[in-house]
Amino acid sequence: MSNCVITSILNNDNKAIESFYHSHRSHFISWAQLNYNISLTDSQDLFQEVMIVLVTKIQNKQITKISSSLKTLIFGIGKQLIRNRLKLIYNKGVREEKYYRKETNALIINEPDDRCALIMSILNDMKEPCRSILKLFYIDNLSLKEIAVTLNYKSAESVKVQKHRCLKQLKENVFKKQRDT
Amino acid sequence: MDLIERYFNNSLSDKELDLFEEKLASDPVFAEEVQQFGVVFDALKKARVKKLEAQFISYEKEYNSSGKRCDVRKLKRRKANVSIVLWILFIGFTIQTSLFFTTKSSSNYDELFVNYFEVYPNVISPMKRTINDQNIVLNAMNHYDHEDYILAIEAFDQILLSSDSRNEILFYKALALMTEGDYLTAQSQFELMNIESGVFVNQRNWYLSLVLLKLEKLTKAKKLLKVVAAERTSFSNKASSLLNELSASEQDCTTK
Repeated sequence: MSNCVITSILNNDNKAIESFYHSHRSHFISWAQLNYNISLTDSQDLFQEVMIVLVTKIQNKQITKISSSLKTLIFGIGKQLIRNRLKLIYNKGVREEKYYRKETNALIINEPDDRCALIMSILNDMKEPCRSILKLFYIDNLSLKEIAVTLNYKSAESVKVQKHRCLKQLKENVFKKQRDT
Repeated sequence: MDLIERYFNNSLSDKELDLFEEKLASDPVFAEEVQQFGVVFDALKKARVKKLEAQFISYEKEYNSSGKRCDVRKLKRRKANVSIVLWILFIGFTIQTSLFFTTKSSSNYDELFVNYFEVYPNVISPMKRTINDQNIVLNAMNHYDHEDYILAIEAFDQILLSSDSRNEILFYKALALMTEGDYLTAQSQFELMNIESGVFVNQRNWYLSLVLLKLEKLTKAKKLLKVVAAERTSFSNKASSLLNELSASEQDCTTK
């Protein structure tokens, strides 16, 4: 059963993901509130983080088969995220660094986000078919085969070749823009 | 290129990884290329996560702020289920099957809950607090007084993030959740209260026993009701009377 759900998530079956989301949500939220003294809103956010970790791990093929149930896995990831967060709160070094960053320049904190936004805007400005291929593959998580069908390519292999060209072009555009600015 | 992507996806074999890392260490041009692709892959991964976040946020729209799901399709299905249940009950009534008695006992608990549940009045504001805290608490209790329980729950959650008087807030949040019909979360809020502090503990025990009754956790409910009945508070008489009604209803079912 769990492995069937994994296959559905791997295949990006949104209906299966949605039903999986709803079936574990309330139990997880009650569990987080009860055991870790977390507010309702924070528990809801935590559940979303758990789902993101789980779906990403499955879709990146880091989780392919499990011997326990998916519910155990969800709660396990939840515990790990809570522990990580507690470590961050109580880690003196991190707190000091955060304080130091606040005191200095706000731009430093936003740097990674700014860079992501820049890369995404360069991707959005790319010509077709690069824009669609990269978005469908990396953001919508479609397989090469699915992209071949969607964009009328002869085969998945020809999409793969085109995707490599587009990726290289994106990288070059990004670093050209960074050099220019 | 394929190798670089697989490197960032951690999907290189041990042998491939050794060769890859060897090249990284010995070829600065290659190392720079890998580093640049790393930046691009990182941004694409973040964009994927953002898309998933948006997807999950859209699922959250089916829930109200107390965390309950309000799915129209489910409501329709529930409506249909209710009519089926009523029909079964009707047949059950006429032929007096055992199904009738089972359903009756559970509806008895619902009835008892309705008879005994009263929203607890606001007795905590005004209080001596810092001005900022006082405003937040007043605002939350204002929603509570005006029976805007969903807004009150949101406000209580905000207070709980930083409040030093958690028991009162947890208590009123649980009450608001009870009025919204989210008994499971209400139970968890009551259980988060610190009993040792003595603040709102009698009230908590009474209302928690009602939640347990509603959730049909009878053994726990009765145990707690006995505690409430034994203590001389405004709830002891109610608790004794509810315990009597529960025993009467159980005897009634056994006799039948």
